[in-house]
Amino acid sequence: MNERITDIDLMQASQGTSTNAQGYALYVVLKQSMLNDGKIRLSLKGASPMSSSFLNSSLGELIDEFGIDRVKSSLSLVNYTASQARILKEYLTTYQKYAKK
Amino acid sequence: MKKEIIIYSQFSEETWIQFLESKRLQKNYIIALLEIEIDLQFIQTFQIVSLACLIEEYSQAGIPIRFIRNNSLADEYLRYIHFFDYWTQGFDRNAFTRSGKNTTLALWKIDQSRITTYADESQKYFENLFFIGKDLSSLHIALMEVFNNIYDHAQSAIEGFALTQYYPKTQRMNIAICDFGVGIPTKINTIWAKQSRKPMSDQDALRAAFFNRLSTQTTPQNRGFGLSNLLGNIRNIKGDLSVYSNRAMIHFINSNVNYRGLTAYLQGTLVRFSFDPNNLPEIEPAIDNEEYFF
Repeated sequence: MNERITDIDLMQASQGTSTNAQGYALYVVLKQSMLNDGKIRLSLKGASPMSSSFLNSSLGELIDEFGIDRVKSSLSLVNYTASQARILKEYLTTYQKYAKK
Repeated sequence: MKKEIIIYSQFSEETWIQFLESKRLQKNYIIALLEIEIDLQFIQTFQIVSLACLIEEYSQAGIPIRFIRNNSLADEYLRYIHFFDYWTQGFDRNAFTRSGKNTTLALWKIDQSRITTYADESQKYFENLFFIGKDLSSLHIALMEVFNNIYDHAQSAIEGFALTQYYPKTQRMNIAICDFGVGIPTKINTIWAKQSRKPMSDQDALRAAFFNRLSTQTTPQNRGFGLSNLLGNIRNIKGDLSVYSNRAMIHFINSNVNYRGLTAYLQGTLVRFSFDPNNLPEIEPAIDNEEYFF
């Protein structure tokens, strides 16, 4: 069975990676795909550096809603730098360590 | 009654905090004019942003501001970065103003609608002019963490001021940001009081803000990562960081942490960080032929 894969361009979805509002815009798009039970292939092409506010309002909210395991298994990256992948992996790892649930 | 702020000798960071405390606007005083003279060979980044906050405090209270100008190097430098212009009629505070020195961005009064632009433009400016091929993402992230902290937590009527400068001779980038909000320890202890938790000393609260994933939950998205992310990014480029807030200071250099109480009190937060641009990483190419799975 072919898994549904949704390609999302981060910068198109959020218009930036610095503020809570930008993070929330990304969260809305990611959530929709998660609700459709598909995989998300997230392109980081041209993405500016990501603040904690942005990560909290996007990935953090997604983890609170769907759980860390589901987010990790649903999400992959393309057009990324090694640092970006490391930062996102660290965020997920740290969140898992300190999350309420 | 005229109030004077005369600066003619050098200060350490801690004695500067004492000086600031002594000059803050007191509610019951009637002041007709604030007169400022700065007669120094050198004025530091942290002094400039906090002095700007102090002057703005008087200005917002409707008190006229007058500068006594002189031929000192500090006065010249402040002119280059448009310091005096902020309290001069006709100056457009909403525009990003070009500095008279290409190694320093003009003093910037923080504006929530433009914090991303400031971080973006600061990064691009220094990458394109001085550090070609180097990645200044850490500067971008550090600026955004401090700016977001001001708007999420500080409750600062002044909002704050920021200054980003490069010293080619000493190979050092110096950045300072100041707000006159409630201060980090006060914020933490206020929330803790509501949760019936025992208050911490200012220095313990300030330290905990960096290490203990403390979240004041001021916004629903807060998860206590902001200050540790600020520290992590500065450490990645082997920089140092100092934060003064309420009656506490914390200083990070290399892997060392020094935190303690202060005799003076800063209502607000003063963040200063610096790094050697030779420690900046190279700009990384994107990996476009491989998918990354967590």
